[in-house]
Amino acid sequence: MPDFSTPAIMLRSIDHGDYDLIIKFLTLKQGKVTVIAKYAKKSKKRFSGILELFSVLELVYKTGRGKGLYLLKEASLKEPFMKIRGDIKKTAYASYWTEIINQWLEEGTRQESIYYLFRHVLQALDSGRIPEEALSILFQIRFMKISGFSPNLSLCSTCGIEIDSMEGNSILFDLAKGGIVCKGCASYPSGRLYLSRGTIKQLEWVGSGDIKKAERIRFTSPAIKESLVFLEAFVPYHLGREPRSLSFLRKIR
Amino acid sequence: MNHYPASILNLIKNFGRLPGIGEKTAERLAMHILRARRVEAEQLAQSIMDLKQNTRLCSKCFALSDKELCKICESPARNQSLLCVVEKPADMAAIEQSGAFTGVYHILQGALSPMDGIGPEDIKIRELIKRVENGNIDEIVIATSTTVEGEATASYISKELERFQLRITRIASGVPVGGDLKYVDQVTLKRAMETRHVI
Repeated sequence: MPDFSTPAIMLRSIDHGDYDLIIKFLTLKQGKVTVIAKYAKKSKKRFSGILELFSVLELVYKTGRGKGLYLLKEASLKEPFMKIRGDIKKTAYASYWTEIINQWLEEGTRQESIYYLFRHVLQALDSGRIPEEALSILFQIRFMKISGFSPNLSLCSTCGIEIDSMEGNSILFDLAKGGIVCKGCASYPSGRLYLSRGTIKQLEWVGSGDIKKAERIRFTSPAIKESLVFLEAFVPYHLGREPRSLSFLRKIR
Repeated sequence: MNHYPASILNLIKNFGRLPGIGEKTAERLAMHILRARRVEAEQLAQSIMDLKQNTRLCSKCFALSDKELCKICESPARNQSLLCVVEKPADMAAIEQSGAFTGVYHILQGALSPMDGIGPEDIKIRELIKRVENGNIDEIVIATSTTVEGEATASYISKELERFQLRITRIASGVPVGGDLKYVDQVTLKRAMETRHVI
Protein backbone atom coordinates (compact mmCIF):
# COMPACT_ATOMS: atom_id res chain seq x y z
CA MET A 1 0.00 0.00 0.00
CA PRO A 2 1.71 3.21 -1.13
CA ASP A 3 1.87 6.29 1.12
CA PHE A 4 0.48 9.61 -0.06
CA SER A 5 2.13 12.83 0.98
CA THR A 6 0.46 16.20 0.46
CA PRO A 7 -0.20 19.60 2.02
CA ALA A 8 -3.76 19.82 3.34
CA ILE A 9 -6.20 22.04 5.20
CA MET A 10 -8.34 20.48 7.91
CA LEU A 11 -12.08 20.80 7.24
CA ARG A 12 -13.88 18.68 9.81
CA SER A 13 -13.23 16.23 12.60
CA ILE A 14 -15.65 13.66 14.01
CA ASP A 15 -15.09 11.46 17.05
CA HIS A 16 -14.94 7.78 16.22
CA GLY A 17 -15.14 5.64 19.30
CA ASP A 18 -13.09 6.52 22.35
CA TYR A 19 -9.74 7.07 20.70
CA ASP A 20 -10.01 7.69 16.96
CA LEU A 21 -10.94 10.65 14.82
CA ILE A 22 -12.39 10.68 11.33
CA ILE A 23 -11.10 13.80 9.62
CA LYS A 24 -11.86 15.50 6.34
CA PHE A 25 -9.08 17.43 4.65
CA LEU A 26 -8.83 19.53 1.53
CA THR A 27 -5.56 18.28 0.11
CA LEU A 28 -3.54 19.89 -2.65
CA LYS A 29 -2.96 16.67 -4.56
CA GLN A 30 -6.16 14.67 -4.11
CA GLY A 31 -8.84 17.25 -3.31
CA LYS A 32 -11.16 16.36 -0.45
CA VAL A 33 -10.17 13.18 1.39
CA THR A 34 -11.40 11.46 4.53
CA VAL A 35 -8.86 9.80 6.80
CA ILE A 36 -9.00 7.95 10.08
CA ALA A 37 -6.48 9.02 12.71
CA LYS A 38 -6.08 6.07 15.07
CA TYR A 39 -5.62 6.93 18.77
CA ALA A 40 -5.55 10.64 17.84
CA LYS A 41 -7.68 11.64 20.84
CA LYS A 42 -5.16 10.16 23.26
CA SER A 43 -2.04 10.94 21.24
CA LYS A 44 0.68 12.79 23.14
CA LYS A 45 3.39 12.62 20.50
CA ARG A 46 2.12 12.02 16.98
CA PHE A 47 -0.98 14.20 16.74
CA SER A 48 -1.05 16.24 19.95
CA GLY A 49 -2.16 19.84 19.29
CA ILE A 50 -1.89 19.36 15.53
CA LEU A 51 -5.26 18.20 14.26
CA GLU A 52 -7.18 21.47 14.54
CA LEU A 53 -9.70 23.03 12.17
CA PHE A 54 -8.40 25.33 9.41
CA SER A 55 -4.75 24.39 10.10
CA VAL A 56 -2.47 23.80 7.12
CA LEU A 57 -0.66 20.50 7.60
CA GLU A 58 1.70 18.26 5.71
CA LEU A 59 0.05 14.84 5.70
CA VAL A 60 1.24 11.31 5.09
CA TYR A 61 -1.54 8.73 4.74
CA LYS A 62 -2.10 5.36 3.17
CA THR A 63 -5.00 3.24 2.00
CA GLY A 64 -6.57 1.64 5.03
CA ARG A 65 -8.43 -1.61 5.39
CA GLY A 66 -12.23 -1.58 5.24
CA LYS A 67 -14.63 1.41 5.11
CA GLY A 68 -12.54 2.92 2.31
CA LEU A 69 -10.95 5.46 4.60
CA TYR A 70 -7.32 6.44 4.35
CA LEU A 71 -5.21 5.84 7.43
CA LEU A 72 -3.36 8.92 8.68
CA LYS A 73 0.26 8.06 9.44
CA GLU A 74 1.88 11.45 10.05
CA ALA A 75 0.87 15.10 10.24
CA SER A 76 3.10 18.11 10.73
CA LEU A 77 1.76 21.58 11.35
CA LYS A 78 2.69 24.23 8.77
CA GLU A 79 0.30 27.09 9.50
CA PRO A 80 -1.79 26.94 12.69
CA PHE A 81 -3.63 30.26 12.09
CA MET A 82 -3.68 31.05 15.78
CA LYS A 83 -5.34 34.43 15.32
CA ILE A 84 -8.35 32.87 13.61
CA ARG A 85 -9.07 30.52 16.49
CA GLY A 86 -8.63 33.32 19.01
CA ASP A 87 -11.39 35.42 17.45
CA ILE A 88 -15.03 34.35 17.31
CA LYS A 89 -15.89 36.37 14.20
CA LYS A 90 -12.89 35.06 12.28
CA THR A 91 -13.70 31.53 13.40
CA ALA A 92 -17.29 31.97 12.20
CA TYR A 93 -16.18 33.19 8.74
CA ALA A 94 -13.58 30.42 8.39
CA SER A 95 -16.24 27.87 9.45
CA TYR A 96 -18.65 29.17 6.80
CA TRP A 97 -16.06 28.88 4.03
CA THR A 98 -15.02 25.44 5.31
CA GLU A 99 -18.61 24.23 5.23
CA ILE A 100 -19.09 25.48 1.67
CA ILE A 101 -15.99 23.55 0.57
CA ASN A 102 -16.93 20.45 2.52
CA GLN A 103 -20.46 20.38 1.12
CA TRP A 104 -19.60 21.30 -2.43
CA LEU A 105 -16.54 19.24 -3.29
CA GLU A 106 -16.53 15.60 -4.27
CA GLU A 107 -14.15 13.22 -2.55
CA GLY A 108 -10.91 12.50 -4.36
CA THR A 109 -11.22 15.13 -7.12
CA ARG A 110 -8.13 17.30 -7.33
CA GLN A 111 -9.05 20.98 -6.81
CA GLU A 112 -5.80 22.94 -6.75
CA SER A 113 -7.40 26.34 -7.44
CA ILE A 114 -9.82 25.92 -4.54
CA TYR A 115 -7.01 24.75 -2.26
CA TYR A 116 -4.93 27.85 -3.05
CA LEU A 117 -7.95 30.16 -2.77
CA PHE A 118 -8.88 28.73 0.62
CA ARG A 119 -5.33 28.90 1.90
CA HIS A 120 -5.02 32.48 0.68
CA VAL A 121 -8.17 33.69 2.43
CA LEU A 122 -7.23 31.88 5.64
CA GLN A 123 -3.80 33.53 5.58
CA ALA A 124 -5.40 36.94 4.98
CA LEU A 125 -7.97 36.32 7.72
CA ASP A 126 -5.24 35.34 10.17
CA SER A 127 -3.09 38.36 9.32
CA GLY A 128 -6.03 40.76 9.65
CA ARG A 129 -4.86 42.81 6.63
CA ILE A 130 -8.33 42.74 5.03
CA PRO A 131 -11.72 43.06 6.77
CA GLU A 132 -13.46 39.69 7.25
CA GLU A 133 -16.50 40.80 5.25
CA ALA A 134 -14.43 41.78 2.19
CA LEU A 135 -12.57 38.47 2.38
CA SER A 136 -15.82 36.57 2.50
CA ILE A 137 -16.99 38.36 -0.65
CA LEU A 138 -13.68 37.53 -2.35
CA PHE A 139 -13.86 33.87 -1.32
CA GLN A 140 -17.48 33.29 -2.29
CA ILE A 141 -17.37 34.95 -5.69
CA ARG A 142 -14.11 33.22 -6.66
CA PHE A 143 -15.21 29.87 -5.28
CA MET A 144 -18.37 29.98 -7.39
CA LYS A 145 -16.38 31.00 -10.42
CA ILE A 146 -13.90 28.11 -10.02
CA SER A 147 -16.82 25.72 -9.47
CA GLY A 148 -18.47 26.83 -12.72
CA PHE A 149 -21.34 28.67 -11.05
CA SER A 150 -20.13 32.21 -11.54
CA PRO A 151 -23.06 34.64 -11.34
CA ASN A 152 -23.81 36.31 -14.65
CA LEU A 153 -23.43 40.01 -13.90
CA SER A 154 -23.00 41.43 -17.40
CA LEU A 155 -25.96 40.32 -19.57
CA CYS A 156 -29.66 39.70 -19.03
CA SER A 157 -29.97 35.97 -18.34
CA THR A 158 -33.12 35.79 -20.47
CA CYS A 159 -32.78 38.08 -23.48
CA GLY A 160 -29.03 38.72 -23.42
CA ILE A 161 -29.01 42.54 -23.49
CA GLU A 162 -25.99 44.14 -21.86
CA ILE A 163 -26.15 45.67 -18.37
CA ASP A 164 -25.30 49.11 -19.83
CA SER A 165 -28.53 48.99 -21.84
CA MET A 166 -30.65 48.23 -18.77
CA GLU A 167 -32.64 50.97 -17.05
CA GLY A 168 -32.18 52.21 -13.49
CA ASN A 169 -29.43 51.98 -10.90
CA SER A 170 -30.77 48.83 -9.23
CA ILE A 171 -30.53 45.67 -11.30
CA LEU A 172 -32.60 42.60 -10.59
CA PHE A 173 -30.74 39.33 -9.93
CA ASP A 174 -32.57 36.02 -10.39
CA LEU A 175 -31.13 33.31 -8.10
CA ALA A 176 -32.56 30.43 -10.14
CA LYS A 177 -31.20 31.76 -13.41
CA GLY A 178 -27.91 32.64 -11.75
CA GLY A 179 -27.76 36.07 -13.35
CA ILE A 180 -29.16 39.54 -13.74
CA VAL A 181 -32.41 40.12 -15.64
CA CYS A 182 -33.66 43.23 -17.36
CA LYS A 183 -36.99 44.81 -16.41
CA GLY A 184 -38.65 43.49 -19.56
CA CYS A 185 -37.77 39.89 -18.69
CA ALA A 186 -38.54 40.10 -14.95
CA SER A 187 -41.65 38.08 -14.19
CA TYR A 188 -41.95 36.39 -10.77
CA PRO A 189 -41.04 38.28 -7.61
CA SER A 190 -39.66 35.32 -5.56
CA GLY A 191 -35.96 34.36 -5.45
CA ARG A 192 -34.86 37.78 -6.60
CA LEU A 193 -32.53 40.41 -5.23
CA TYR A 194 -31.56 43.88 -6.29
CA LEU A 195 -27.95 44.89 -6.80
CA SER A 196 -26.72 48.40 -7.50
CA ARG A 197 -24.55 48.97 -10.56
CA GLY A 198 -21.62 50.03 -8.35
CA THR A 199 -21.76 46.78 -6.37
CA ILE A 200 -21.99 44.71 -9.57
CA LYS A 201 -18.85 46.39 -10.90
CA GLN A 202 -16.99 45.76 -7.66
CA LEU A 203 -18.09 42.12 -7.60
CA GLU A 204 -16.81 41.66 -11.16
CA TRP A 205 -13.49 43.21 -10.17
CA VAL A 206 -13.09 41.03 -7.11
CA GLY A 207 -14.03 37.90 -9.02
CA SER A 208 -11.47 38.24 -11.79
CA GLY A 209 -7.74 38.71 -12.34
CA ASP A 210 -4.93 38.44 -9.84
CA ILE A 211 -6.16 37.74 -6.31
CA LYS A 212 -3.63 40.08 -4.70
CA LYS A 213 -4.86 42.97 -6.88
CA ALA A 214 -8.48 42.03 -6.18
CA GLU A 215 -7.75 42.19 -2.47
CA ARG A 216 -6.90 45.87 -2.75
CA ILE A 217 -10.42 46.89 -3.74
CA ARG A 218 -12.08 48.95 -1.04
CA PHE A 219 -15.78 48.33 -0.68
CA THR A 220 -18.04 51.00 0.72
CA SER A 221 -20.10 49.94 3.71
CA PRO A 222 -23.40 49.68 1.71
CA ALA A 223 -21.60 47.73 -1.04
CA ILE A 224 -20.28 45.23 1.52
CA LYS A 225 -23.74 44.80 2.97
CA GLU A 226 -25.36 44.41 -0.44
CA SER A 227 -22.68 41.95 -1.64
CA LEU A 228 -22.93 39.78 1.47
CA VAL A 229 -26.73 39.64 1.29
CA PHE A 230 -26.45 38.65 -2.38
CA LEU A 231 -23.67 36.04 -2.01
CA GLU A 232 -25.07 34.52 1.19
CA ALA A 233 -28.30 33.91 -0.71
CA PHE A 234 -26.70 32.90 -4.02
CA VAL A 235 -24.16 30.37 -2.65
CA PRO A 236 -26.58 28.40 -0.40
CA TYR A 237 -29.19 28.44 -3.21
CA HIS A 238 -26.80 26.58 -5.49
CA LEU A 239 -25.34 24.51 -2.68
CA GLY A 240 -28.85 23.16 -2.01
CA ARG A 241 -28.81 23.90 1.72
CA GLU A 242 -27.81 26.65 4.09
CA PRO A 243 -24.56 26.01 5.98
CA ARG A 244 -25.08 25.99 9.76
CA SER A 245 -22.19 28.41 10.19
CA LEU A 246 -24.06 31.00 8.16
CA SER A 247 -26.87 31.32 10.69
CA PHE A 248 -24.23 31.43 13.47
CA LEU A 249 -22.39 34.15 11.56
CA ARG A 250 -25.56 36.20 11.14
CA LYS A 251 -26.21 36.02 14.88
CA ILE A 252 -22.82 37.28 15.96
CA ARG A 253 -22.10 39.72 13.13
CA MET B 1 -23.51 -16.50 22.43
CA ASN B 2 -27.01 -17.86 21.82
CA HIS B 3 -26.45 -20.66 24.34
CA TYR B 4 -26.96 -18.11 27.14
CA PRO B 5 -30.45 -17.58 28.58
CA ALA B 6 -32.28 -14.40 27.52
CA SER B 7 -31.65 -12.57 30.84
CA ILE B 8 -27.86 -12.90 30.46
CA LEU B 9 -27.95 -12.02 26.77
CA ASN B 10 -29.96 -8.93 27.61
CA LEU B 11 -27.41 -7.82 30.22
CA ILE B 12 -24.53 -8.46 27.81
CA LYS B 13 -26.33 -6.38 25.18
CA ASN B 14 -26.86 -3.51 27.64
CA PHE B 15 -23.27 -3.54 28.90
CA GLY B 16 -22.12 -3.60 25.29
CA ARG B 17 -23.80 -0.24 24.73
CA LEU B 18 -21.48 1.46 27.23
CA PRO B 19 -18.53 3.40 25.83
CA GLY B 20 -15.35 1.37 25.46
CA ILE B 21 -17.10 -1.93 26.22
CA GLY B 22 -16.93 -4.61 23.55
CA GLU B 23 -18.79 -7.91 23.40
CA LYS B 24 -16.12 -9.87 25.30
CA THR B 25 -15.90 -7.35 28.13
CA ALA B 26 -19.70 -7.14 28.31
CA GLU B 27 -19.81 -10.92 28.65
CA ARG B 28 -17.17 -10.87 31.40
CA LEU B 29 -19.06 -8.16 33.32
CA ALA B 30 -22.33 -10.08 33.02
CA MET B 31 -20.64 -13.23 34.34
CA HIS B 32 -19.20 -11.22 37.23
CA ILE B 33 -22.65 -9.93 38.16
CA LEU B 34 -24.01 -13.46 37.94
CA ARG B 35 -21.36 -14.77 40.34
CA ALA B 36 -21.58 -11.79 42.72
CA ARG B 37 -23.74 -11.82 45.84
CA ARG B 38 -27.32 -10.72 45.34
CA VAL B 39 -26.82 -7.66 47.54
CA GLU B 40 -23.93 -6.42 45.34
CA ALA B 41 -26.06 -6.74 42.21
CA GLU B 42 -28.89 -4.89 43.94
CA GLN B 43 -26.54 -2.11 45.07
CA LEU B 44 -25.30 -1.67 41.50
CA ALA B 45 -28.84 -1.56 40.13
CA GLN B 46 -29.93 0.85 42.87
CA SER B 47 -26.95 3.17 42.31
CA ILE B 48 -27.81 3.38 38.61
CA MET B 49 -31.42 4.21 39.47
CA ASP B 50 -30.30 6.82 42.06
CA LEU B 51 -28.02 8.41 39.52
CA LYS B 52 -30.85 8.78 37.01
CA GLN B 53 -33.39 9.95 39.58
CA ASN B 54 -31.36 12.30 41.74
CA THR B 55 -28.67 13.81 39.57
CA ARG B 56 -29.41 17.24 38.20
CA LEU B 57 -27.55 20.42 37.42
CA CYS B 58 -26.63 22.91 40.15
CA SER B 59 -28.92 25.92 39.68
CA LYS B 60 -25.98 28.30 40.09
CA CYS B 61 -22.97 26.80 38.29
CA PHE B 62 -24.57 23.95 36.25
CA ALA B 63 -22.25 21.32 37.69
CA LEU B 64 -23.64 17.87 38.39
CA SER B 65 -25.34 17.84 41.77
CA ASP B 66 -27.93 15.93 43.78
CA LYS B 67 -29.25 19.09 45.47
CA GLU B 68 -30.35 22.55 44.36
CA LEU B 69 -26.80 23.81 44.89
CA CYS B 70 -23.64 21.73 44.42
CA LYS B 71 -21.07 21.22 47.19
CA ILE B 72 -18.69 23.80 45.75
CA CYS B 73 -21.30 26.55 45.42
CA GLU B 74 -22.49 25.88 48.98
CA SER B 75 -19.04 25.76 50.54
CA PRO B 76 -18.12 28.84 52.66
CA ALA B 77 -14.46 27.90 52.16
CA ARG B 78 -14.58 28.69 48.44
CA ASN B 79 -13.74 32.14 47.11
CA GLN B 80 -17.07 33.23 45.60
CA SER B 81 -15.49 36.23 43.85
CA LEU B 82 -13.21 34.04 41.72
CA LEU B 83 -15.06 32.25 38.92
CA CYS B 84 -13.65 29.62 36.59
CA VAL B 85 -15.52 28.99 33.32
CA VAL B 86 -15.23 25.47 31.89
CA GLU B 87 -17.00 23.56 29.12
CA LYS B 88 -17.95 20.28 30.82
CA PRO B 89 -18.32 18.84 34.33
CA ALA B 90 -15.30 16.62 33.58
CA ASP B 91 -13.16 19.75 33.08
CA MET B 92 -14.23 20.99 36.51
CA ALA B 93 -13.33 17.61 38.00
CA ALA B 94 -9.86 17.79 36.42
CA ILE B 95 -9.21 21.25 37.90
CA GLU B 96 -10.52 20.13 41.28
CA GLN B 97 -8.17 17.14 41.24
CA SER B 98 -5.24 19.48 40.66
CA GLY B 99 -6.13 21.34 43.88
CA ALA B 100 -4.94 24.55 42.25
CA PHE B 101 -8.21 26.45 42.32
CA THR B 102 -10.10 27.71 45.34
CA GLY B 103 -12.86 29.67 43.64
CA VAL B 104 -16.19 28.58 42.18
CA TYR B 105 -17.14 27.37 38.71
CA HIS B 106 -19.49 28.01 35.84
CA ILE B 107 -20.03 25.05 33.53
CA LEU B 108 -21.10 26.09 30.06
CA GLN B 109 -22.32 22.61 29.07
CA GLY B 110 -20.55 22.84 25.74
CA ALA B 111 -18.59 25.15 23.48
CA LEU B 112 -19.56 27.37 20.56
CA SER B 113 -19.29 25.49 17.30
CA PRO B 114 -20.47 27.28 14.15
CA MET B 115 -20.28 24.13 12.00
CA ASP B 116 -22.41 22.15 14.46
CA GLY B 117 -24.88 25.01 14.74
CA ILE B 118 -24.11 25.54 18.45
CA GLY B 119 -24.54 29.22 19.13
CA PRO B 120 -24.38 31.39 22.28
CA GLU B 121 -28.00 30.62 23.17
CA ASP B 122 -27.33 26.86 23.16
CA ILE B 123 -24.83 26.94 26.03
CA LYS B 124 -24.90 28.65 29.43
CA ILE B 125 -23.43 32.00 28.39
CA ARG B 126 -26.54 34.06 29.16
CA GLU B 127 -26.58 32.52 32.65
CA LEU B 128 -22.91 33.43 33.10
CA ILE B 129 -23.60 37.06 32.23
CA LYS B 130 -26.56 37.10 34.62
CA ARG B 131 -24.32 35.69 37.33
CA VAL B 132 -21.75 38.41 36.73
CA GLU B 133 -24.49 41.06 36.79
CA ASN B 134 -25.92 39.75 40.06
CA GLY B 135 -22.85 38.50 41.85
CA ASN B 136 -19.84 39.98 43.49
CA ILE B 137 -17.25 38.61 41.09
CA ASP B 138 -13.76 40.10 40.83
CA GLU B 139 -12.09 37.72 38.41
CA ILE B 140 -13.16 35.29 35.72
CA VAL B 141 -10.74 32.58 34.63
CA ILE B 142 -11.73 31.24 31.22
CA ALA B 143 -10.63 27.60 31.17
CA THR B 144 -12.32 26.38 27.99
CA SER B 145 -10.30 23.90 25.94
CA THR B 146 -7.59 25.00 23.53
CA THR B 147 -9.38 23.60 20.47
CA VAL B 148 -10.77 25.99 17.85
CA GLU B 149 -14.21 25.73 19.49
CA GLY B 150 -12.80 26.33 22.98
CA GLU B 151 -10.76 29.33 21.86
CA ALA B 152 -13.72 30.78 19.96
CA THR B 153 -15.87 30.39 23.07
CA ALA B 154 -13.23 32.12 25.18
CA SER B 155 -13.08 34.97 22.67
CA TYR B 156 -16.86 35.37 22.67
CA ILE B 157 -17.14 35.34 26.46
CA SER B 158 -14.34 37.83 26.94
CA LYS B 159 -16.05 40.21 24.47
CA GLU B 160 -19.41 39.81 26.20
CA LEU B 161 -17.85 40.54 29.61
CA GLU B 162 -15.81 43.55 28.48
CA ARG B 163 -18.40 45.98 29.81
CA PHE B 164 -18.06 44.73 33.39
CA GLN B 165 -15.48 45.99 35.85
CA LEU B 166 -13.66 42.71 36.44
CA ARG B 167 -10.43 40.93 35.65
CA ILE B 168 -10.77 38.40 32.82
CA THR B 169 -7.97 35.86 32.49
CA ARG B 170 -7.37 32.87 30.23
CA ILE B 171 -5.88 29.63 31.52
CA ALA B 172 -2.24 29.34 30.36
CA SER B 173 -0.97 26.88 27.73
CA GLY B 174 2.45 25.32 28.13
CA VAL B 175 4.82 22.39 28.21
CA PRO B 176 3.43 19.46 30.21
CA VAL B 177 5.34 18.43 33.33
CA GLY B 178 7.55 15.44 32.53
CA GLY B 179 7.00 16.02 28.80
CA ASP B 180 9.67 15.86 26.14
CA LEU B 181 10.08 19.20 24.33
CA LYS B 182 10.53 17.54 20.95
CA TYR B 183 7.01 16.12 21.11
CA VAL B 184 5.33 19.39 22.06
CA ASP B 185 3.44 20.99 19.18
CA GLN B 186 4.62 24.35 17.88
CA VAL B 187 1.51 26.29 18.96
CA THR B 188 1.92 25.16 22.58
CA LEU B 189 5.66 25.84 22.51
CA LYS B 190 5.12 29.30 21.08
CA ARG B 191 2.62 30.14 23.78
CA ALA B 192 4.86 28.67 26.47
CA MET B 193 7.72 30.84 25.24
CA GLU B 194 5.54 33.96 25.09
CA THR B 195 4.32 33.44 28.66
CA ARG B 196 7.69 32.41 30.17
CA HIS B 197 8.42 33.61 33.69
CA VAL B 198 11.43 34.56 35.76
CA ILE B 199 12.79 31.87 38.12
